[in-house]
Amino acid sequence: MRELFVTRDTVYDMMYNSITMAATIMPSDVKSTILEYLNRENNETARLHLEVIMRNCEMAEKEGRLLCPDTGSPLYYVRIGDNVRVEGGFSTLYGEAKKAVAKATANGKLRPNMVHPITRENTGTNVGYYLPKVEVRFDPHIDYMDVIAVPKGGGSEIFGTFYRVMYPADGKRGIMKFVLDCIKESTYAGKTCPPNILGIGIGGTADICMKIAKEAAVLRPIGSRHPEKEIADLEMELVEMVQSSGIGPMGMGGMSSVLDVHIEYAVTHTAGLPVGFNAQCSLSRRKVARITLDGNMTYSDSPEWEYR
Amino acid sequence: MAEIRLSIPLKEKEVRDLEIGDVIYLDGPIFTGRSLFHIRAIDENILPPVDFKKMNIFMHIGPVMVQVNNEWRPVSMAPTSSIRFEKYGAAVIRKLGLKGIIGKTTMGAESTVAMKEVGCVHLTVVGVMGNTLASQVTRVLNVHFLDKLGKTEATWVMELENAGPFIVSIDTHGKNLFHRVNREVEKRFEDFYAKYGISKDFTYTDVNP
Repeated sequence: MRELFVTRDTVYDMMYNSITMAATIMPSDVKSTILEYLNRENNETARLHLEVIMRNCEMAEKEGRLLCPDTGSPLYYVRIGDNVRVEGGFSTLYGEAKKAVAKATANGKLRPNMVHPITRENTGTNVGYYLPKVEVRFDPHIDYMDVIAVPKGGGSEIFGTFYRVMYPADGKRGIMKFVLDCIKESTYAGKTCPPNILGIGIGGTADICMKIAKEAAVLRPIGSRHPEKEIADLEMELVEMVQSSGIGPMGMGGMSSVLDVHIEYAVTHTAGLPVGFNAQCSLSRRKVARITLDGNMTYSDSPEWEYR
Repeated sequence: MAEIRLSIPLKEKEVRDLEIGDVIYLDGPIFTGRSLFHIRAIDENILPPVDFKKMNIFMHIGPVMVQVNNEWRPVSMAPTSSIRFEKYGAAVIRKLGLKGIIGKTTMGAESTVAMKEVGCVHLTVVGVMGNTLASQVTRVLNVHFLDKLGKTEATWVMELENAGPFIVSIDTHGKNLFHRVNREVEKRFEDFYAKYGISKDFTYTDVNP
C-alpha cells in the first residue's frame, strides 16, 4: 500500500478545522431529523423549542457563531490506516490537538470550560491533564486518516452518564430497568437537552462499557443500526418507546423526545453484567476531517468509528 | 401560552401575577453567575458590586465573550442548569431579594419555598438559544471578578432588549412546570417497565446482603 505522509501542519489543520466546524455547523443527519420533527410536532411549546434551535443553528452557520455556548469537553477520535506516517511520529497528534484546542479557545470558537477539579481554577485554554482526549485507533482496512472532533456539552455529559455493574441473574430485565431509569432521570427538566442520541454500552470491563456507550452516543449518526438484528430491533423499539413518552424537547412535553438510540455490546466476564449509559444533546456536534492518498482534505459528519 | 414583556427591575406585583408556562420577554440590565458565584456569595460573603434592587434578575450563565477594541461582546450565550445550584439557591434568593432567575432546567423544593416568600420566579430556556440571546444584548455594562474567576464564571452585567423567549418554570404559587409534564411521563414509563416485566419491587442482585 502506498504511504500517506501527513505533515505536522496538516495534523494541526485537521484538529483545528474539525473542532471549530463541529462547534458551528450542525451535522446534516441531526438537522434533517430536527426539521422532520418540526414538521410533525403538534405541541405548541415543543414547536417553539425546535424553531429556536433551528434559528440558532442558522445564525451559527451564517455568522460563524456557536451552535451552543457550552462547547463542552474537547474530544478527538483518530482513525489511522496502516500506510499512514505522521511528521515527528504519531505523538504529534497529542501535541497538535493541544495547540489546536488552545487556539480555538483563544479565537472564541471554544468556551474555556476546563478547570482543576478541586481548586476549580480554569486553565483558560481547555488544555490540561488528560484533555483534550485523543483516542487513537489503527485500522488495517483503510488507507487514509480521519480526525473526528466532538465538543461534548456539559449538560448531556454531566447529567446523562450512568454506570452499573449487575449480575447474570439480573439479565435483560435488569438491563432494561437500568436503561429506563437512566432515560427518565437524565431527561427530567431538560437536563441533557433532549431530544438526545442515547448511547447504551453492555458488557466489557468498566472502562470498555462506558467507552462503547459514549461512542455509540457521540459517533454513530442518526439512523445507523447495530449489525445484529436483535440489537438493531431493540434500538428501534426503544426509539419508538421514548418518542411516545411525552418527554419532548427540553423535557417540556411533546412528541419529539429522542433523536436515536444506539446500543453496543462487548463480551464480558462470565460472572458480571456491566451496563453504561451516555446521552448526547440535541445538537450532537461532531465533524470528521479526512486526509486521503491524493493529499485532499475532506469533511463529513459520518465517523464510521465502530469496530466490533 | 400567554406572551408577556417585562422591564427590569421587575415589580413584586407583576411577578406574583405570573404562572408556570407563561412565555416571557425581558428588557433591562441583568447580572450573571454560576457555581462560584453561589459558593462565594454564601460561604464567603463575597458579592459583586451590583445594585440588586435595580438589577433583580440573576442569569445562570457562562457567556462566550470576545473583546473587540476594548469592548466586550458576547459571541454566544445560553443559560446553564439552575438545578446544580440548588444547595445555595434559597439562600441567594433571600440574600439578594431576587425577583427572577433565568437558567436552564429548573430549581428544587427549597428554592421554590424561598421564591414564594420573596416573590421570585424561575424562567427556563427555550431550545438552544445561544445566538439569539447574544444578539439581544445591547451592551456589556461591566464585568466583575474576571481575573480571579475567568470568563466563564465571572459576573457580567449586560443590558438586554426584548430578550427571550423564556418560560416560567416555577411561579410564586409554588408550582413547577416540569412536575406537570413529569406526571404524564411517569404514567407512560409505568407501561414501559411493565412491557419488560419489571415490577415495582424489582431489585438488582444484592452482593452485600
